[in-house]
Amino acid sequence: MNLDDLKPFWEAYKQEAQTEKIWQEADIQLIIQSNASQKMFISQLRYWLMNTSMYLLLILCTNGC
Amino acid sequence: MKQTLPSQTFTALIKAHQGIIHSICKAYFAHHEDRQDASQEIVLQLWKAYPHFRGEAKVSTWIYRVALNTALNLVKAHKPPTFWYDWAEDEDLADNASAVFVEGSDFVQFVLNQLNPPDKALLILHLEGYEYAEIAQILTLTLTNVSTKLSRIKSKLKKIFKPQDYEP
Repeated sequence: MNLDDLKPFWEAYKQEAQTEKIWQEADIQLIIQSNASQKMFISQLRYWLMNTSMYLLLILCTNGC
Repeated sequence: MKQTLPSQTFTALIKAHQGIIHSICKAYFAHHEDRQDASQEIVLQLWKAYPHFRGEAKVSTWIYRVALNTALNLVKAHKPPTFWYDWAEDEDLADNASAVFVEGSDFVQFVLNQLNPPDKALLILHLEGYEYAEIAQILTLTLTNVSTKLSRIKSKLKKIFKPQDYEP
């Protein structure tokens, strides 16, 4: 496969991605002013808490508790 | 005279180049919510980096650099190591690749899904028409590394797809 053959398909892909979601100025302003980074931190924390709980549960189960 | 605020200039800049952010998020995240979170994080990272942007590089190059690095970090931080199925090693699937995907933009998604996240970034930049030296700069790789990796991607995809699979 020649990678350049993919270029027209990539253009179509970009067009499709852009039409799926179009931001207006207000949307972008909202993102930079919102607490999106806090949300990201919370989701990361939730992810690690879930993993740790699962890990502890597995250890408890395998030890016969 | 009316003065433009930095946030207004930034907003206009992002609005004009939002296609880059959306296409990267689409390439890396399958679920709508993940895409939304990732695109917001990319905008925030761009906003943080904006005071340091001196306009030496093209705006699109700067956006690609920040967006791809953010996407790669998010993939690394949120997902457990993903098992990347090596289609090239599966001869039956490689023979029937054309039966698996549909045409157009879905074909690009199918191709991208065969690659690991860093290789995906390389292919995206190549498809965007960046030179090897620019790709190396954006992804902080060496020129030799870019050339080797792209040639590996090419031969991997060659094993999976035949010309009749993607010719209109």
